[in-house]
This record gives sequence, C-alpha cells and structure tokens, in this order.
Amino acid sequence: MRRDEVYRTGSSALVFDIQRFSLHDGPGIRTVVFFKGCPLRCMWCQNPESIHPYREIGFYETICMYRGRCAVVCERRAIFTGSPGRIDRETCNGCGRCVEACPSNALKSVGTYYDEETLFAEVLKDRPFFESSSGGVTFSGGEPTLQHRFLKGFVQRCRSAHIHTVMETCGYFNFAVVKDALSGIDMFLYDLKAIDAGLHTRYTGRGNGVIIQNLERLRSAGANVVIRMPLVPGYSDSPENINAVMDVLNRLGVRTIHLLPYHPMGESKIKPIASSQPYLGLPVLSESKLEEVAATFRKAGIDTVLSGWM
Amino acid sequence: MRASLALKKTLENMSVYIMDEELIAGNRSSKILGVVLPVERGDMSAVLKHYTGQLRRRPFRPFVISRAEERELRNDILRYWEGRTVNDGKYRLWKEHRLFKHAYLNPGALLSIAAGGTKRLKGYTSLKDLSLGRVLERSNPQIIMNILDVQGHLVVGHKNLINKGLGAVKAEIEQAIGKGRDKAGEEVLRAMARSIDATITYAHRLARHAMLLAGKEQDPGRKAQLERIGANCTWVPEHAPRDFYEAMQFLWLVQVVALISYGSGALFAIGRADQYLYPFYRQSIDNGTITPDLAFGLIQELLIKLSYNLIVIPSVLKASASELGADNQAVTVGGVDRSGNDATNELSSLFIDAIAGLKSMTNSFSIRIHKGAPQDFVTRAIGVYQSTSGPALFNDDAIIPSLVNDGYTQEDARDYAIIGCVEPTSDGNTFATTSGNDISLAGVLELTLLNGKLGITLNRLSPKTGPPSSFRSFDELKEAFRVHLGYNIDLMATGIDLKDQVYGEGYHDPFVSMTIDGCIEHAMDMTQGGARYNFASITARGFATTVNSLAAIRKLVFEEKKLTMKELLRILKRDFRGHDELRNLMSNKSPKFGRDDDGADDIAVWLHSTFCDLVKSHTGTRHDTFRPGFFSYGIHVFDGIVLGATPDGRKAGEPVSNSLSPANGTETKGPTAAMKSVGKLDNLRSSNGSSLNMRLTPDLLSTREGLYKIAMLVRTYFSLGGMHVQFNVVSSDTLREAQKHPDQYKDLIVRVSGYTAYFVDLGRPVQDDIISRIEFGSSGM
Ligand code: SF4
Ligand code: SF4
Repeated sequence: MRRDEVYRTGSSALVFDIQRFSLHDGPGIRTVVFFKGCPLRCMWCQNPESIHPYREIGFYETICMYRGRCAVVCERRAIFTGSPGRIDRETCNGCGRCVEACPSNALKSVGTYYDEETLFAEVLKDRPFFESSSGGVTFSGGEPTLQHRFLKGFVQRCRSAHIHTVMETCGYFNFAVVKDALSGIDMFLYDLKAIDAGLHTRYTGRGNGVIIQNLERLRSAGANVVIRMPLVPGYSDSPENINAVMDVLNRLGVRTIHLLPYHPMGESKIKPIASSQPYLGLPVLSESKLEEVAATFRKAGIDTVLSGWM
Repeated sequence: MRASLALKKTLENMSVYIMDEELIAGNRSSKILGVVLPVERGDMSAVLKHYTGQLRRRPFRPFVISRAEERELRNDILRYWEGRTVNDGKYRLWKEHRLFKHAYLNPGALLSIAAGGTKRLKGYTSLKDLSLGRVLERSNPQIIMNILDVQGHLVVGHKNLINKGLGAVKAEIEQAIGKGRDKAGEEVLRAMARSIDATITYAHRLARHAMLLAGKEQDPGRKAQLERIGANCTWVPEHAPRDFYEAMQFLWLVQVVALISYGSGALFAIGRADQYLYPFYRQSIDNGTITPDLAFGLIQELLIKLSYNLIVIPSVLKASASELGADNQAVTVGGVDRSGNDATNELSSLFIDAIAGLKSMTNSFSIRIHKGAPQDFVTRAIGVYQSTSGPALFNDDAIIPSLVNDGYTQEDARDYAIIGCVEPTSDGNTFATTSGNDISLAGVLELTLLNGKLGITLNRLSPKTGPPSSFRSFDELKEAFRVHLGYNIDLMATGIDLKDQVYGEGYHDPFVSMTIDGCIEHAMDMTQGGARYNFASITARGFATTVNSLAAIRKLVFEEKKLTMKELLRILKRDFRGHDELRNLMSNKSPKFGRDDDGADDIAVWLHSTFCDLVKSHTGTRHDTFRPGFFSYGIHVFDGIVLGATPDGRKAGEPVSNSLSPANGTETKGPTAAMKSVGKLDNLRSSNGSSLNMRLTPDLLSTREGLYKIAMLVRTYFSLGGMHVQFNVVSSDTLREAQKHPDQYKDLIVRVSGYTAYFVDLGRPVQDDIISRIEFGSSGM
C-alpha cells in the first residue's frame, strides 16, 4: 500500500489540519493536531481526508476560475482543466506545486509535512492560553499512532515544556511497537464503536480484538483513559451494541462514558479529494435518541458525558 | 450665561410626565423616544433640513413628528441658528486659516460611487439626500477624515455630586465667587449656580406632578409609589440622597438635565455606578429600607432609561438602517478601587444580572476585569452573552498604565470609566472629547498610492511623495505613507483645535461643567479647560485593511515580484475588472492581520506605533495632549463608499475593517490567533481606546465549562496586553447572511457536538440544520 516516506523515518509528521482554540477534545483550550492516515475505514467517517497516509490535493470546484495555472506547473501532467474532478489521483504524487500556483485557493493541500521544530513552534503559539485554562495539545487523526516514530520525540518535547498532551485513538495499533510514543501521554480519548467482532469488521474494515486488548493494556499500565462512543444512527446505536459496550465497561470497572452523537458534517469533505467514502445520507442523531442511550447507561450506574469538555 | 438661561427656561417650561409603572421620574423631552436636537451645534442641521418631511413619511421606522413641530423646526429653529452654529464657526475659522483645500470631486467616480452607495444602502438613504458636498466639506474635510461638530464624550461627575447634593455644590460655587474672580470667571460660576437652581426647580415640578397624580390615583399600591416619587424629587437632587432609591433618582435627574443642557450626541457616560452607589445600596439593604427586589427593579429601570437615549445620525455614516443611533450613556462596573484592590461588589453583579435580563439593549455596558478579579465575576460577565451581545470587557492591567502614561495619577487612573463604546478616562474629573475626530488609514493609503490624490478627487489633497512606481523598496512606500499620515494628522489636529476654540468661546455647558472636578476651582467652563484633566483625540479606522494591503504589496510587488507597482495601480483603478486572478492572489495568498502571522503582524506593529507617535506629538487648545485610539462606530462603512479598491483584494464599495479587528473573512485561525496578533501591538499607547470585536457561536456559551473556557480566553488575551474585547454572538441571521455572501464569512467556524467545520464549506442541508439548531437553542449548538 502507498505510504509516505515519513511514516518510516519519523523525520516529519504528515498533518492534515491544525486547529487552535479547540474546546471539545480534552480539558481547557487546546490545539488539535490532526495526523493523516488511518488503519480503519469507518463507513461514517467524518474526516475522509484523514484516511490515506499520503498527501492529497483537495479541489473545490465552485471557486475554481478555470484558467489552468495548476495544469501548467504540474510536472506529472496529472491535471486536466476540462475534467470535473480536475486531478488524476493515480498520477498525482502530492508534490503541491499546483496548490502554490492556484490563486483562488481552489486547490488545497490535504496534508502538510512538519518537522519537529516547526510543529512545536505551531503548538507553542497558544501556550499562554493552555496555561491559563489548563489546556494543551491533542493528537488526533486519522490515527496518530501510525506516526509513532515522529510522536515519540515530539511527545517528550511537549512533556519537558510542561504542555499537557491528549491522544485520540481508535485503539488499532501494535502495542509493543508504539508504546514508547504513548508513554508520555497525559490522557487518552479511546473510541469504542462496536463490540460484536463481526459488526466491527463490517463497519470499520477491521476486527476489534486488538482494540479491546489495547484498552486493557493501557489501563493496566496506569494510563488515564477516557472512553468515548460515537453514536451513529442505525449503526452503533442499537440496544444490543449499547448493552455490549456496557458489559465491557463493567468488566473493566470503567464508570464514565463520553457519547458522541453523529452529525453529517464531514460529507462535504468527500468530494474535493475524490474519496471512495460512501455517502450514507444519515440523519443527525436525534436529541431523544441521545437521551435514551444516556439513560440506559445511567441506569447501569455509568455516568454519561454528552458534549466532551463543554 | 446664555446657556444657563436657556436651560432655566427649558426646565421651567417643558412638560413633565411620569409614565405608568415608572419608579424613577424625569424626562428629557416631551416624547418618550424624543431626541433633544442639538441645533446649536449645526452638524445635523443639513440632515434635519433634508429629513423633516421625509422623516415622517418614510415607510421604514418613521419618526413621529407633527406637522406643526416640523414647521417650527424648519422655519424657526433651524433658520434662527443658520450661521450661528458651532459648525458655522468652525468652518469660518478653517477658511480663515486656509486649512483644508476644497476637494474637487471627479464627476465620473462620484457617479459610480453614488450608484454603489445607493445600491449598498438600498432602501435607506442615498448619498444625494445628504447634500453631499456640504457634509463632506464641513464634516469630512480631505474626505478621508471627519471632524464632527460634537465634543461631549465625557463621564458626568455623578460621583462628585451624589454625596453632597446640589445645594451644597451651589454653596461651594458661591464661596468661589466670593474669592474675587475676574469678570469672566465670575460669570462662568454664576451660570453654574443658575443651572443648579433650574435643576432643583425642575425636580420640584416633577414632585408636584407626582403628588397630583397620586391624588387622582385609585390603586393604593400605585398611589404609594407616586407619593414616594414625589417625596424623592422634593429631597433630591437638592440634598444628598438618604437611601438607594433616592440615590437612583438623584443620578437620573442629574443625567437628564445634563442631556437636556447638551442635546443629543453628548455621549455622556455615567461612570462607575457600582462604586458610587454601593454605600447607599449597602445601607438600604442592611437596614431593610428597600428590598433586593426593589433595588433590582430600579437598576433595570435605570438601564432602560439610559438606553432610550437616541441620536440623529445620517444612515450613510452609520450604515445601519436607522438615522437614530444610540447616544450611548455607558455604565461601567467592576475593576479595582483607587488603591488597586478588587472593587467588585454585590451591586456590580446586580448590574450585570440586570443587563442580562434586558435583551436588545442599545446601551453600552462596560465591565472592567483585572488580574485579581474573582473568577465568578468574570464568568458571570461572559454569561451575559447568552442573552445579549451588549457588554464589552475591559482590561484594567492595560488601561490603567496607559492612563498613567497620559499624565493621570495612579489613583485617578485606577478610577477610570468608559465613555461611548471603548474610551477610558478617569471618572468625574476629565474633559477628553474622546470621539468625533477620525481618520481613515485606508484613505491615507490611497493618498499614498495616488501621490496625494484620491480616486474620487481631481485635485491634490496631500503632498507629492512621488509616483509609487518610483519606489525601489517597501521602506520607501512606508515612508511615503508616513508622510501622508503625518500631514493629515497635522491638519486634523489644527482643525480640531479650531473647533474646540469655538466651543470654548461661546458654547459652554455650565451644568455639566459644574459636575466635573476642577471647573469650579478654576472658575472655567469645561470647554475652556476647567477640568482637572484635559485631552483631545484622534481615532483611526480601517486598521486591518491597511495592514493587509501593505502586506500584499510587500509580498507580491517587492518580494515575489508577481506584478509591478504600475500594474497594481492599474488593476486597483479598474476595481479588479478582468483581473480576478490577481485579486485572488491578493486576498488568498497574502498574509493577513489576525492570524498570528508575522508576515502581516510586523506591519501592524509599525502602523500602530507610527499612528500613535504622530497623534501624541500634538497639543491642543486646552493644553491637552491628543490621545490616539482605534475604533469605529459604523463609520468604516462610509470609507467603503468613497474609497477605491485596496491591495488586500477588497473591492471599491465594500466596507473597510472595523477597529482593531481582522478584516471580514480573514480570521481563519480562530480567536486565539487574532488575540495574539492584537497582543503584539504596543497597546498601552493607544490610550483613547481600541477595540477588538469577535464572533462567538452560541454553543460555546451553553455550558458552565464553555463559559469558563471563554473567560480564560479573555483573561489570557488580557494578559497579552489587549485592552478590550466584545463578542457578537452568531445568530441564525448571521448564518443566513453567510449563506448569501460566503465570501465575507470564509472564516466562520461552527461546531456541533464536537465536530467543527467552516460554515461556508458545508452543504446546504447541513447548513440549514445548524441554522435551526441556533434558532431553537438546541443543546448541541
Ligand atoms: S489554478 Fe486553481 S483556479 Fe486555476 S484552474 Fe487550477 S484549480 Fe482552478
Ligand atoms: S500535487 Fe503535484 S502532481 Fe499532484 S496534481 Fe498538483 S502539481 Fe500535479
């Protein structure tokens, strides 16, 4: 499978977005670094641009001026001004020249390389806000552990600068391989999607055995783990699945769960990168359904948090 | 003297009324929403002349003015004042000094601008209505600046009077008269005394009226209230109040008389109400003379009364749909006391709760925050945004040192209050004329690029600095800009000074002067420099537009050489027609102020300090230094109409940026980045006030955690040196606007249950869902 060089070397991170002043992904005011690349293929993924472990080019047709600056600079001849999607994804190597050349920002780089120094400078920008609000940096994705070689040094760097770190993870990783990168993390936000292994494979393309094992490993290593459950209407919100999640929590002795109600905000992100992600056309998870699920958990003695740290 | 006689006549004759349910009496005109027309100033005469007749007939928010009143206004009042107003006097002096050149407008440009202006303000007002030439010449000399006829803009010295009563103040004045003054000084003092008499007479008329109503009242509850009003108005403001209720009546009566004496456009702030009212409140609550409920009701009533104060402003200047703007009577609460300790008290919180309970206030409500402010207090202040966009937050730790730099003592600086929207001065001892004199930085840039002309003028308004195509470096461009800025600020300072002389010579306000510390002692009216502290002001607008334009020129012309200066000028002249691509480069691929990006922020730092230096180098007629500020009160839209396209990609006709805020659509890195950018400026130097306006989505305010995070956002911004921030809570209307004009809202971020996205990037159905969430206050939003 195609994968950018940096995954192997860890010399840089491939990041598809950096969001300052994020309030939902951990305590306080945070800067979220979205790492590109993910081992799962959740059908409802809200960040389709996070999936591939290489740089892609997003094309926003409505603001394109059709003058073809991009085609002129593309050395691989991957751009056809006439075609609706503009870019031949097979030929494009993500060099980014067309993005530079486009005056309208109709082409955007999905994925930017940051070396440790540059990314750290970016994180430091909001340090005064972290300090006053007990916030910090959150590594999200995609799946950040895919870039564990880079993260290993970076997390330590944050630690020595006393910056609080949170990692959002899907849990699908090789514990032994990535554990050095995880050792300095102050808090994990750990997603549980479906407990039935067959369902999990159907929804995400992978089984969940390793995910549940890793959860246990993290907890027994003494890590601070917050469990979250995305509630996707018609997928993860069935009573069976809720009960199964409850069983897991009980077995592990976890008393709190964060619920993430589905919202189809990510669908507009599918087209610009010609993602193979299906349009599910799912509705927003209704307030009443959310309340119902929350009540089920509460009845079983498990506290629910409905909007993260907000 | 004439002023005090006129006040006496008004107060003795104007009709008094008390409305049902009112607990505090006093009206400034015979209409509830009435405006005291400032005919003697003259700035609005041209507007009024045009509008009488139109005001009543127009379909949109018609004014209620009877035919007889209209005739009186047009035939008698306006005619009498013709040639005798401040406006006339000011203009005469400007001409004598040959100060401003006449601007010969380029008819072609004017036409297209007028068309653009009309289109932009469709349904409201066209430029034609304003007899443009006259307004421009007399209020907007050089076109890129305005020197309005107004002074005002001060904190009325309620705090000096409320513990004494006007009777005692009059005794002080009489003592001062006895000290053998020169004739002029004695006259000033006598006028003050006379204005006090008139005020007491007025209060007594109100008292009699209340008693009369009480006599006729059937309902025993209301009867008792009316009797209480009668008793209050008999006692105050002649004597010092004996409880909180009397203190509120005292405050309102003094404020009403101040407004009547000055006319609208006064921008009279009431100062630190939670401080000087607190002893009365404490005592009344402790000894049970009034209940907390009554106290709260009185505060709300006061705030409502303060917000009914309106001003006639031509809509082309205000860009709003109304000729009536708010004649802000700012209330300030919170902050430190004179010795630097936290001064927030129960009353501060009551004021905050009261404003939260009153939606859609036109008032300006200022909350002071300092390093040691209790967290509860700050969170409570932020909580107000759940119901209204009203309040503004001010940073003691930046403002106090900036006032000390201006020459205030440490104690007086700590005792500051806000005037108008954002301007700080010490409470009750200052005549600072903090607004009305503004200059457009984007206009100065146009003068620089056109070698001293504007696109809409045929003649030169500013010196020759050479054609920009001859500039070999960005520094040369900056230097030329500095020359134009300096030249125009010089002109302005002189123009303002001459206006202020006109005031000092013949347009006194003995009543307001008497409230301000220093005027009695010096036997001088405030307009002559009687106050303990005096300042003048010049305020800049269009800051970010100018910074971004300079940054684009540096990058595209001097660094990357994507185009030459000559080409740039041609493109601007054509308003980018046929050059969308270059326009896109300017708006998308150039650094912008507000993104924590030094590619623009270093220019911002330079522009900010250059402006402050130039303004501070001037001294005015009251031996007062000029104070620089950065804010705009809708007036930046006027710039949009008269200025051509700018190198940041802004088209002619579009508004320039407001205050210190990032330009529309450019705040893509979120609030922390914008705050960092503003934090890089030497904020202590713009002591006349600077403001940052930001958007906040309602989801951030819907939980305790959210309020805490916003509170910490503000506290961090203040620790970085920011002076002021005001949030506008995004409403469903804002989002609908964004659907229509995605260009202007490229930076609008929305969040739904943890998901974040740029609103304009979302598909229509998702957008609509978010709109309905906001409308129905759904928990996810
Ligand atoms: S350079 Fe940009 S605007 Fe021009 S054709 Fe390519 S994508 Fe469209
Ligand atoms: S990223 Fe490079 S290879 Fe891909 S389309 Fe753009 S210029 Fe061509």
